[in-house]
Amino acid sequence: MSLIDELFDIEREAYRNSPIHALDSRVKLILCLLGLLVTVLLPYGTAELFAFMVIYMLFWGLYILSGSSLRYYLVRLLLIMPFGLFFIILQPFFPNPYYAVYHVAVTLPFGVHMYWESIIFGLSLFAKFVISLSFIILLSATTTMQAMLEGAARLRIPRLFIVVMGLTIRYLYVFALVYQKIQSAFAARCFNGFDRRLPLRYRLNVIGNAAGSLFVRALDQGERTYAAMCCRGYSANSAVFYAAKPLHAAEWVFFLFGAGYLIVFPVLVYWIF
Amino acid sequence: MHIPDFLFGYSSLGVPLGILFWIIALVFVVLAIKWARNNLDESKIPILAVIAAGIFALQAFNLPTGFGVSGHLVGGALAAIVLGSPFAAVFVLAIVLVIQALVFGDGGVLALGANIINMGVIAGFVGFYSFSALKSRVGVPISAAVAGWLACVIAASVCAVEIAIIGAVPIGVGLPTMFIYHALIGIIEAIITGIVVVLIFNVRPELTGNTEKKAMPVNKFLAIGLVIALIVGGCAVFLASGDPDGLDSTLLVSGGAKDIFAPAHGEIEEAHDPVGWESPMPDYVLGGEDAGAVGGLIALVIGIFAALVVILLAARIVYAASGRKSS
Repeated sequence: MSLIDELFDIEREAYRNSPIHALDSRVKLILCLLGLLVTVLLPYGTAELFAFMVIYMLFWGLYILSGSSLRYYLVRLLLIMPFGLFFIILQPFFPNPYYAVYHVAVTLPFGVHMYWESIIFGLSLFAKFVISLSFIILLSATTTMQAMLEGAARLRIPRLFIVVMGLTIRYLYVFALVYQKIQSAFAARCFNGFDRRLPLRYRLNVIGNAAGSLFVRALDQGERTYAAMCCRGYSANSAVFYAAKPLHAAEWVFFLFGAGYLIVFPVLVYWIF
Repeated sequence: MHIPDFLFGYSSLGVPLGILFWIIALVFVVLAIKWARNNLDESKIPILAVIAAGIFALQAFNLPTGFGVSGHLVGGALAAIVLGSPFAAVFVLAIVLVIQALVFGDGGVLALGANIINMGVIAGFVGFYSFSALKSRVGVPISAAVAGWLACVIAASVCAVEIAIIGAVPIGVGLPTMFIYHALIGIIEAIITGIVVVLIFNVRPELTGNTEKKAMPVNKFLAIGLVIALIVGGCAVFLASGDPDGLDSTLLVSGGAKDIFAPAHGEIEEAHDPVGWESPMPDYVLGGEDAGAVGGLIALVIGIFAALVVILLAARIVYAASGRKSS
């Protein structure tokens, strides 16, 4: 499964209804980024593990309230992991500078060792990885891309950026469908890029041409879109209008308590442990 | 090649470095927007936006490497070559990466700066300039393929250097691993880039001329040179502090690390002490002589649950008030 297939699942999930879905996207964006930042900033140590638990509890509270399924969370987590796991799996094999003393856990042939300290360090990284991804999954499962964009516009992100992102997000779905059509065409002709009975050269040629035609379609679509926008009065200085939307009192409470929770409790955990 | 956020949690310098990468990336994004305003007639920026969506779809093609592993296109070199400027690649890849980070979790948010530098700036510039240098000598397909390979490998190497600067993986381990892996993946990226470029230049021949555009204006060249010099200089400062130990101690975190093992071995050096803010009371142990710790713990647990209840209740109230519409 690639990101494209995920695109539709994410959007379907984001269009459901729940207390978390109903929150203003600004609140969700800021809290998500804050959660990420706190998780990344936590220094390594015993207390960190408890601080992680506290942060992770907030995530689970919100995730359960959002009504998304456990399966959805796990599947997305597994899909994103590979590149990060690469760094974590490397960890146990070399002594990093964070400890002065190392204990060999396993000795492998060719003088390769696995160290206890590094294994524990790797596990702590793994926790950081999972929690920071969890916040992104929560954000994207409860907020549509358009809502995120509106939130960003209300947070005074530059206009040009909003216009460009808005267009890209709309056409993401168009090209996702084009991509799926190409895949259907491959399937209808019994073509599989990983079929070893076909010469690699031939397979790459077919995929390359398909990719090229997708790019050409993107170029053409871009020009058509631009012409259509000009017809409707677009110019270099146009902006999409987003009405001001004051936050509900309960949204303020949610935001302030959420931010307070993310900042105060990890610090308190440090004080106590 | 998408750097995740947690790698920036290695050292106390991780977050400042993440912000530094963000600033460098933003400089290039601003330059790219300026380029688009000056070089695309009457702000045809919407076209770039649509192409960004196209590149996103292009990245979905799983490419068989022939070793049973699959890779996918990064597309930095491709975008730069086809659109006729490295800045186009910066622009397009920046948009794609923002969406990937915020919606898909592919690549971190704090790491976004570093990712834009690698896949947009480095891949775009390397891809574009190696293509235009080689084109007249070896022809379009070969030069596009070489550009695709170089962009992939150099971007991956820079990625390894960044990860080493953050203090996550020593350069001696990270660089060779990333280099070898991407040298192989790069072959496939090279072939696909070559095929796509040839196809597009055949179908849309008017694009061919674009790659021979005027030389870069001097002030722009100087600005870019300065930024690159800053990056290289920054790397040099960290690496020049001598052996790996020098680098490592510059980036030392240790944090509460010593709490775990110090009692058992008592050999942790004091030099590994955390930088003040990291653990306000590192020696304070739960369940020690001080009975106040238990009271504090109970208060903390109650506090956490109370706050959770308020947060979840507030969300419910918003939901009820919003008439069950999602925003």
